[in-house]
Amino acid sequence: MLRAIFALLSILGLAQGAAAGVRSISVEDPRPFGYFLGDTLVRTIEIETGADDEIVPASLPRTGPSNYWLELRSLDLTSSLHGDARRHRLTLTYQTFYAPIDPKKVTIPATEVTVRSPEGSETATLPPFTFLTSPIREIFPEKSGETAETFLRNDSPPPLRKSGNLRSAALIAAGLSGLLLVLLARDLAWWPFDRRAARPFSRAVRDVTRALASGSNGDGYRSALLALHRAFDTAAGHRLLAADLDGFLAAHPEHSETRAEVERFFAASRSVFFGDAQREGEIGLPPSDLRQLAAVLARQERAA
Amino acid sequence: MSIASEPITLSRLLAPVFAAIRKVRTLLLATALIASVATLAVLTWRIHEVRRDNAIIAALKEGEDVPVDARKASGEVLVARSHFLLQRDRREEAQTLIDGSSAMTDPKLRAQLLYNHANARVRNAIDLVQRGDIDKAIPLTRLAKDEYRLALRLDPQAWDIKYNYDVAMRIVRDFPGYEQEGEDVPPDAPKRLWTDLPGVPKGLP
Repeated sequence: MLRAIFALLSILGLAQGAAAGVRSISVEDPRPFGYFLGDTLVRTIEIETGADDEIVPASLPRTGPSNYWLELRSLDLTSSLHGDARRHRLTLTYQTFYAPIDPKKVTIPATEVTVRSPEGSETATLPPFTFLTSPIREIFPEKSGETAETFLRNDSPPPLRKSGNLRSAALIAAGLSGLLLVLLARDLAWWPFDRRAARPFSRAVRDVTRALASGSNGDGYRSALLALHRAFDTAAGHRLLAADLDGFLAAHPEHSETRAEVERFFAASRSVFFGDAQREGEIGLPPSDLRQLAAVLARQERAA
Repeated sequence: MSIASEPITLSRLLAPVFAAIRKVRTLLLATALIASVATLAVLTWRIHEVRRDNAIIAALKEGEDVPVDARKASGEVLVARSHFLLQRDRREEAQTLIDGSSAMTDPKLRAQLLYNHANARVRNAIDLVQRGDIDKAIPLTRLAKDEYRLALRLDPQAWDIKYNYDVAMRIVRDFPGYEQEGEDVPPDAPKRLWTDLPGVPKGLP
């Protein structure tokens, strides 16, 4: 019997809970006293409705002047589902421009919003809010010795522009640029990284270019060849001869694409230093090709 | 699949990625360097602009009549120029600065501009009241009140604006233009219109 009554009650409760339309309105008001001219106050109103109900946006109070001393500055509406109910949270920010002579109670009037549910519309009344607004000055400032010259607060002096944030950002950008420059110099084996053991070919590019540019025909070409030889020696870790080329390319697979050109280089070198004529070497590997080869090797070395 | 072998698999998986990064590393570094240097250049230019503006503000403070382009100048320069003009009773020129101030990004700075301008108006109005020229003082005070109100909208926490707005309110009080239902009309509104006039010599209305 008791169980039956309990069941009946819970069914009734459910039936009531599932009803559409406005179920409750709760208001969070700010302090009702201590407001001066120009102060803002925020009211939060929560309207609980059925799950499928919504507040008609056109029925909400409009931002802007409400009356000659009150303005609605902003209005924010959010709604979320809680079980079978929907809670609409309305945040209203008002600004008062009432300039009272003595402390005075003023009222933000009640307003109505329309709630639309599948069954029809209903109105919810947002309750009024009364607060005490206070004067900021005496009633008769003259009595305490003020004159027309001292009525007003002074003008506010023009401020200077601040550049603190800009300076910090510039400092960071400068530091980052420096760091990137160092990294790039290291990657390309520029000064002071030009003596890096791991970048012999990058160095060779410069040496070869310089040697070809400076020396008169024969000498320049010879020292360019020597520079590239030195790079091969450094890369291999020992003196590299044409016979060791297979071993070198196996140990440095990044250079294997240019095997043909490297072989040409060794052949040219042999003919220049041990062979018949320098002319022949020049024909076998013209200076421009020599420089090209050094550049290609340097690129492969960087990518390795 | 054991957990121990996972890092090996991962590094093996990532190996081509690392290789690809190594291939384009030079390009990446060069691009990043160019971007960073470009940012540095822009920032240096902005800092230069700030220094130039501050020099203009300092010159205006010293009393030098530096012309200012209201459309291009920064908010701080506008405030300084307006201050300069108001101190020399060139309110018409200051008004043109106010008219173009709606583009100002810093609301507090714009509030300051409006506040200083409204102060000049109220000072003039008080002067007129003391000389008995109330008909001229009323519209002037109304304009000042509008400016104070706009300034307070932009900066609701500014105490000096509240204070001077209150002063202006006592010269010419607000009265309800229209009423909502059930709202009581402040009984002091129309009646006190003249009794609050500050500095009105005794015997005048």
